[in-house]
Amino acid sequence: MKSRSKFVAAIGVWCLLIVLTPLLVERAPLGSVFLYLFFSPICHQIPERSFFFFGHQLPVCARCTGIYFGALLGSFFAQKKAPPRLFLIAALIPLVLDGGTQLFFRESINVLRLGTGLLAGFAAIFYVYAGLFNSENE
Amino acid sequence: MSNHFFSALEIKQITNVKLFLVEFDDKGGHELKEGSLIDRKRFIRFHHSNTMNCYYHPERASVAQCVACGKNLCSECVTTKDGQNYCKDCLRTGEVQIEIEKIVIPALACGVLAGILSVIPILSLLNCFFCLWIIIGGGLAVYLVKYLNNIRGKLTVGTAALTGGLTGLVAGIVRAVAALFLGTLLYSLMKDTAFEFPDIFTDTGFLYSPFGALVAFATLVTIFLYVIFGALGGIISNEITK
Repeated sequence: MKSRSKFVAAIGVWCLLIVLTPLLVERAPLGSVFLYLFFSPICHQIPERSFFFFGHQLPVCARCTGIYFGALLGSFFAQKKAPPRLFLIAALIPLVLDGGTQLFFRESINVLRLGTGLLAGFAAIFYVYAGLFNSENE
Repeated sequence: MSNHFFSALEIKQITNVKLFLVEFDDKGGHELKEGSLIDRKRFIRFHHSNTMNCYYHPERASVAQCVACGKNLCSECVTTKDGQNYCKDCLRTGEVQIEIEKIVIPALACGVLAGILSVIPILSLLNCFFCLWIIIGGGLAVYLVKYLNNIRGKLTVGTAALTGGLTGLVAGIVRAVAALFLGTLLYSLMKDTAFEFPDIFTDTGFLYSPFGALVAFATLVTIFLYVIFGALGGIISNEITK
């Protein structure tokens, strides 16, 4: 199995767990409780800021969902040579602005949280991939 | 024989340096003699006192410095790649491997810091956003390892992940201990007040109750995730600070 396949598979499993959690609520409640608990240390899980899937809340908020699925998308395009730092900074700015301003001035919406998260996750994964694999064939 | 120089011609590990004695005579000639193994501190003291000479050929003046490990290099030893100078060791691996003990202090310091920040009310909310304190902690630890060891290139992936992961582990433990301490303190302060605790808190068998088991499980999950996110922060920091 090539490095990219393993990398994509690992992030894919993580994203699958996110989607799987609401599906398990009625079919395997204990499993869903386990997954909600599993994701609780890394996300506030506020219902108003989360998407619902088949009538049940995802275990992470809209922004985190965006980050993880953005990372999954980015893992298909990531290269062994990391892009310049500016790429990461530029991708993080919308997320920081959206997340930062909603603490004080305004209330964001889930679509915006998802969009800024997707952008940030997509960019950040390029650096993780380069960090993991760029010396493999040297 | 007026001057004596040591040269590290063969390095297996920094703790086991095989050195050669270079003896210069008054006519400018020199002779190589294999020396005994000497201790690392003596070698580093010697190396630092001759920083303008080539690391591999101390009788030659250096013309460049390796961007990864900082060694001084003569024209024969330097290799330029993508506009940057590398020594032969770093060119081969592309990354710098350092001893485990060098990562412990930065990881401990950053882990404690991230753990404390993860407990302080309001500030701890940043952890709800992609475990940010832990990612920052892991990244900062890797940066400190590089800074303290004068590494300008990249650490190996394993070292970066280990540094970040260790930071996450320490942060997870600090957070768990601090939460337990704060919880106990809060309980002792409020138990004599009018505040009514749920029965489960006053139950002597709390730790053996399903709720106690759940808390223990959640703590373990938190520590596990902190290790993962700390390692992630370490890997990203290693890449963007190279």
